[in-house]
Amino acid sequence: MRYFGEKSLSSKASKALDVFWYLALAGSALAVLAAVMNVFSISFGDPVTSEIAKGDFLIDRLSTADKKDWIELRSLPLVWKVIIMPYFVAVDALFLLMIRQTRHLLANFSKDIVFNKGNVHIILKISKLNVGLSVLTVNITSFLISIMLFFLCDVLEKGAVLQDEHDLTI
Amino acid sequence: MSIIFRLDRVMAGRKMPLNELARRIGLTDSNLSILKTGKARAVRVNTLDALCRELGCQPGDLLEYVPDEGTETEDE
Repeated sequence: MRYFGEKSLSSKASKALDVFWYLALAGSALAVLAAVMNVFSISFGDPVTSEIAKGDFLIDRLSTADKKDWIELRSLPLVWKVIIMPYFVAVDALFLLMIRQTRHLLANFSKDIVFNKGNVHIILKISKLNVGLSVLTVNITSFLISIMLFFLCDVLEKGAVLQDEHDLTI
Repeated sequence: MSIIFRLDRVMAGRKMPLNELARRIGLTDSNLSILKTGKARAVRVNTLDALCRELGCQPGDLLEYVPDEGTETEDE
């Protein structure tokens, strides 16, 4: 199986991520809109916005533990909800930024550009974003993956130097 | 860098165009251009061998050492 270049795993993953990126963007925008409508109980009188404003539309789709958290969140005073909202927006923004950077990385991989300083910068950005996300979500696994990515960055940087030497050896 | 590649001078002396030389020694035009313009970091012995064969010269005709300013030599 080919990992880099045209018709490779990275090229297929790149195309799939392109589709996922636009879906995630639309989903995030809708989620933020729904959260604002729910927190401030905004409804336009129609059944959809009324359901969103009440927040009951999610109840059936959640697991028991998440259902408990959701009910707890809904019962919080408005001030707390307004304070908590930026946290969710920050997590969502970090997630979107990570997908954006991964798209750039996979686009380079699908063009067979692997050992390149640009890729090192992209992976470094992804690692930093992942550190932020792991701290915000208190996820130790994600944090360890970030550490591994920092090591991978250094390996790739050394590879980029070697590639440069190779390209200029005639 | 102190080593200067004099490929352009030798090629002009032999009236050998770049694309023709590239074809004969099995390099791409862009790689030979890198060599000609002195942007190369290293030269393979195989490449040097092919260049000397096709241009009918010695490696010394292709390379020249020019001391950097401030570099001390035995003569000074």
